[in-house]
Amino acid sequence: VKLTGDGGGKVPTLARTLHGRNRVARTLINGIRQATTRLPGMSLRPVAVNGGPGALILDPQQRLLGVFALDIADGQITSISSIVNPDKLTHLGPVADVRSLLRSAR
Amino acid sequence: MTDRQRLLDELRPGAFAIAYRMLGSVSEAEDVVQEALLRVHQALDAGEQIASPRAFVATVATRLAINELRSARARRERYVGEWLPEPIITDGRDDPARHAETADSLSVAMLVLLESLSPEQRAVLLLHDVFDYGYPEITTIIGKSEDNVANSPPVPDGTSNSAGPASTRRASGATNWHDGSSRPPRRAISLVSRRCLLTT
Repeated sequence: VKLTGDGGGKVPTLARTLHGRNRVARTLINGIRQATTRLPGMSLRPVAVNGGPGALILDPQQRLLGVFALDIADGQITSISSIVNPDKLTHLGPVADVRSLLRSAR
Repeated sequence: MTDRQRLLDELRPGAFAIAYRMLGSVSEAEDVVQEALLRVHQALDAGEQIASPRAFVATVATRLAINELRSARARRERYVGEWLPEPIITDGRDDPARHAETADSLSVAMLVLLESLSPEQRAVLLLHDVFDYGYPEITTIIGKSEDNVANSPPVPDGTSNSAGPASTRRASGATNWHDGSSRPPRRAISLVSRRCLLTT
């Protein structure tokens, strides 16, 4: 399994793709823990993304922080994509301003 | 609603299905769709007889997307961090994927893999494997000789996935293969699609 984040240089995410289930699981858990601490009140809403399972990451005002997409083959997750580049989310609805949210959370 | 408007509305989802898979970007795909539909509109205004509006719009959308991809390429080379496609939500009522030939071809893994192909290779692979066009039609659509088209999709080398799209992206046209030869194996296409489904 691999974990990839796309922040477009605008939002903090993984610098490069991680491989291996242990490393991916650890990073995912830490990442979500960190994100929920720094951005309290964020939530996940399950939706189908690009034909597969996924989720919208929403701030308390239901503005979009990012999208998770899973790729599945032979019953196993082969990749987890975290798309948090705000430019790639605008077509889905109101997008949260992550930078200012992080600043005000500090 | 006029007949013209109804026709354009019917053509839109098919055009988007091609353009989005070509570009991995909703905004760029929508621009291509707009332009393609405008060309249909103009052709009809000019009194042209369009035998198959669907084929016409597929052709225009594919060509526009190839051009767009050429200029997008330079931007994506400079992209900060990993590149992923703009996601689309596929369980809504206005789901563009409902008109999709297969859901697999929409997956993030597939779109990332497609980024490693040249624009022409990408068009051939999509039109053949996803949209079921025959090589003679594809030849007409992308304007290449049939032999080139049939041989177009490359076999990504074993390292292409881990190395990421930017480093494996081919700069030039369809005859530039990983082993330097101008003739990739004929089973390249199915190999590529199988990889999309099973690996990454």
